Amino acid sequence: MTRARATSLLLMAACTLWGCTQKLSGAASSSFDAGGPTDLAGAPAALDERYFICNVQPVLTQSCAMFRCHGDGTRYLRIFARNRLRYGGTEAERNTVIRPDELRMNYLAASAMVHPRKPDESFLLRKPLDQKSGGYFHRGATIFGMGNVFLDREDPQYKTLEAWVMGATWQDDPACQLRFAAADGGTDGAP
Amino acid sequence: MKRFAFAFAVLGLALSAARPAHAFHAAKTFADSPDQGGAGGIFYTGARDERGWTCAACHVNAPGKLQVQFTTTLFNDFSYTPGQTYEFTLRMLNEQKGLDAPRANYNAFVLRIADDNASAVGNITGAAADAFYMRGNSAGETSIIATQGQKPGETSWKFSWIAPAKGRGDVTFSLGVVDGNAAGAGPDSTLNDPFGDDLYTARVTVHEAKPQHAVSVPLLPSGDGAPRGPQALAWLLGLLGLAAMGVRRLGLRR
Repeated sequence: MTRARATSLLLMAACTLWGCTQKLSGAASSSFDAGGPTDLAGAPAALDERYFICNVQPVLTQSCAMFRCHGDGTRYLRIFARNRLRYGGTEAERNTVIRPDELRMNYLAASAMVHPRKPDESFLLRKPLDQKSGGYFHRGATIFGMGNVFLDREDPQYKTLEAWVMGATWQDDPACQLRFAAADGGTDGAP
Repeated sequence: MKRFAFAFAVLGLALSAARPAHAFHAAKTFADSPDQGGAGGIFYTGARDERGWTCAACHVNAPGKLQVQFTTTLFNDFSYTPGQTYEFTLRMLNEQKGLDAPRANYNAFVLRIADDNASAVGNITGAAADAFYMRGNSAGETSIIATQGQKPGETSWKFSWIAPAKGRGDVTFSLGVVDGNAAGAGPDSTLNDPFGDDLYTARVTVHEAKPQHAVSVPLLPSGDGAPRGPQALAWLLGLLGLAAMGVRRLGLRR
């Protein structure tokens, strides 16, 4: 190996090492500064699971869980729903009542779309909201070409998602209280 | 006694096994709540107030070979005469899916009828209640007509639409047709699913025909007391005669 070649190799190795270090520290500080989704410091209490079952799951079923959309099992946000994507089972069981394990997975998947410190900026709210109303780009809005799932923030379904993200609980909802009154002695009942 | 009980049990099992699993081929499912496995009133017709969602939202990877003939005089000039009745015939021309599954070959269509305000408009008639699901407003106007999914193997449907009274403006028909493949499960299938089916979707807007008026060209400026019709003609001829006499007199002077 010539001296020049050895020097260039050494320089390349040094640059690579420096670059990687910069990238790693940059990512860490950016995450900290922006209060990204992985930064749980100051995060509110866990989102209410019963409110999710009573109110959020029906919205996801109706407006998000189509097979072309989040009813596709390969999607990052995948939604299990009755008569749509199911976790196991046969075709004959597709229209059976959704199970607690499926609801639990939906709850966790939807919770992961909620920004812990800036809930108003959560993907769960901004992705399905039309860009004209402050939403983010959503491929679902482009497939059928007539706007996003929620055209504005006044959409009742948007308001349901917003209430959950902002901390609504099942005790705030009399219908949900009734539903779970009997279940308190047992398990969280599926709808 | 035990033998009878066994026979009834076998019969019961056979009947329940033969019963098709009603999924989204039955129009009622679209009206059911999401918790019941329904769509909460979204019929996936591609209409504007359904965010343009069509059957393709769930019937994924359709080959797109299905052809549909939608016959009605309404589409002759894409305009309707208020109050007139139009007969519709909807026919799948080249069904290819589910032909090997006589008990589950459910084909379906859904038609949304809406004015520019997304309101129901006009009335559907001639549609048997056991064959069609219909939805409308409190004024009795129809917004949705869809197949009930009772008979496998159907490929054509007939009904009529009475156009609304004048003043409703444009009417848009949003149509979705599904050529079901009976879950691709072969001759014994009693199931259906949204995979492997073929689709046809279309949207057509027709305009309200403008009323035909008799064309009248006034011979004289109109106004109270002004002569009209034969009287006006006589008056005009008289004027022309007087003018001709005047010209002749002028000619004599020269």
